[in-house]
Amino acid sequence: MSVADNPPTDSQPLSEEQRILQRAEQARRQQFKQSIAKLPADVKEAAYAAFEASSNAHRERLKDEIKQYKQDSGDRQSKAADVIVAQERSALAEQQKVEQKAKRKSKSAQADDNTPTVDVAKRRETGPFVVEVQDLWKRYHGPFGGDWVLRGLNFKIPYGVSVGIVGRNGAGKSTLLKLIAGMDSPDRGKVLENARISWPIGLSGGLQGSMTGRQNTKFVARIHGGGDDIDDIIERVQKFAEIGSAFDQPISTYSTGMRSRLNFGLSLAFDFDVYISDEATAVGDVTFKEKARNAFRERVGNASLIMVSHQTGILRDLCQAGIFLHEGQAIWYDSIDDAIDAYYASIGRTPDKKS
Amino acid sequence: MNAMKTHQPRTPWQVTLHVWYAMFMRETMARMSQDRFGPVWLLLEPVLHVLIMVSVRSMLGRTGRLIPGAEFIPWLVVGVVTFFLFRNIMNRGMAAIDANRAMYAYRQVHPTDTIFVRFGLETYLQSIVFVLMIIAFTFVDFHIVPYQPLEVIWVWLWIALLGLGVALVLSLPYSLIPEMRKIITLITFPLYMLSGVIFPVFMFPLAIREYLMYNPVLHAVELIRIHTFSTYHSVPGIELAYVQKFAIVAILFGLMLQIRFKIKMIAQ
Repeated sequence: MSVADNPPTDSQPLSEEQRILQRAEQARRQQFKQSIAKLPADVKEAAYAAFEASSNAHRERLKDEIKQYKQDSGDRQSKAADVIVAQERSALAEQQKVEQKAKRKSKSAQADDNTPTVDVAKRRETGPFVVEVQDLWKRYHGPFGGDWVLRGLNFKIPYGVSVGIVGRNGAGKSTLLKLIAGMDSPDRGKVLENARISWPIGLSGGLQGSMTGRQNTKFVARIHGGGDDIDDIIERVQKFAEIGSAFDQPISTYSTGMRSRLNFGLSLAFDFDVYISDEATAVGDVTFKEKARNAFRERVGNASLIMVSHQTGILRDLCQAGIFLHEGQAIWYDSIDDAIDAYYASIGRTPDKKS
Repeated sequence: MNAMKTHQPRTPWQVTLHVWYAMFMRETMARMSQDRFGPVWLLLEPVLHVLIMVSVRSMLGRTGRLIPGAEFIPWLVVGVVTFFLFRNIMNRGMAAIDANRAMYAYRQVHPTDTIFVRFGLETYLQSIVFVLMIIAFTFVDFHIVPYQPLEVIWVWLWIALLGLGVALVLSLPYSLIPEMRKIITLITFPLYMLSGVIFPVFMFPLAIREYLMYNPVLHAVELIRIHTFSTYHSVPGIELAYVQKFAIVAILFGLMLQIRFKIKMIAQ
């Protein structure tokens, strides 16, 4: 399940007509697959043969339509071709924009960023792995039964590789994080851990509302066996969180941004191999994001991050690899950009709009 | 970096002790600052209960000797404080899992830890209350100093363990089935009346007493009184062995449930 299986095909640019045909073909194939998904196997095979036979004719007809469209675009005779061409043109334009942006990004990254890079593909072959997920199934039991959220996930996260998890709301991202953090048990399958893994740093949980930031910090430090280092830990958390006198106020008076600053600072005060962040960066301001970025840049290759976020910018900044959760399946990508692209393709958008 | 030290592998026991220590400090802070009364309420509550019962009784015009072998007020004080030890451990222990939900994000913290910590804290606080009560009532010339102090301490510890056992068992329905909270409150409500704290157990007819004797708290309360007042004689059939057996069975059963439903209680 990796994009490495599909070699990139951008060796030579295709003509507009070819690309349109390719896209139309793909769309038609997908539609066909969906429509026969529920049929029995023998019927499926027959249907498939018929489909293959008809696809040549379909391609020819499409070509004719495009030709005709080009000839007399003044009075549009073929509405089907009209719609297809318009759609495909805009899709192509967007795709090109994305490609340009990616190129720009990689260039600028090479230029002004001396972050040590992590060879994901190599680490994925050699290991060691911090988290191994084997055939993971999870469902939630509501009063009227529940649907499967995760249906047989399989992946391994290598040591030192930061992974961004993308997927639409309800795809099971937070559920997966909870399972990795040991806060829930899977219905089937296993999560094997071979590292020190942090608690899920999120907007809620881990902080007791009636206690002050300092008291919470003390508590967490004590749990982790802080001993004589507690004062040191408190100082560091305070320095990272930068919430001023609010550090001595009850957590319930904090804004969500302050909470996530504290929670993030708290987790960074301990040396974990893997930090789990569930949208903790979503509410942070620019300086906070910069701090988080720097903290992980310092630890690149040693500590890694498993993060869920809907902000593609911070994902691209902090993660190397990506997991796209889609319809209960996890698709591993060696590059976070590919995972984001796949996610946006699945919801019919381009990643350009938000970052 | 100093923090490296904090991540040397600890033995499970060390982790548990660290968690208990951290939670104990936290619970103490929370307990002492939860409302304006704070620690004052710990002392005030049993005194007020005694005050109300005594005034009710004198309003009814019963000023004569009620309890053979003991003065009424010390008899009541000992009973109320003993019962509060059990009640506080049970009620607060039962609610502990739910109250500390935010803490299960840290994998070192098990739900059961919260019950153990509250058990320790309540035993500690109520013991202080008991000692203070003995001192205070001795100053106003009541005979309340136990004549068999070691036995009193021994029984006192077993009452605490009884509360722990009940809390371990009841915490499960309490935190997993919200409807059960109402039922548990309903069932534990008459316990105050049926444990011989306010109404002496010998005043119940024999036919009813037979069933009351199944209540281990009644045994415990009477035992504390027997060991406190040299002349006090309770009803026959009171024995520590029953309290001990009840406590051990409840603790073991409770621990079993805690292990079986651990993830369910965390994940809720």
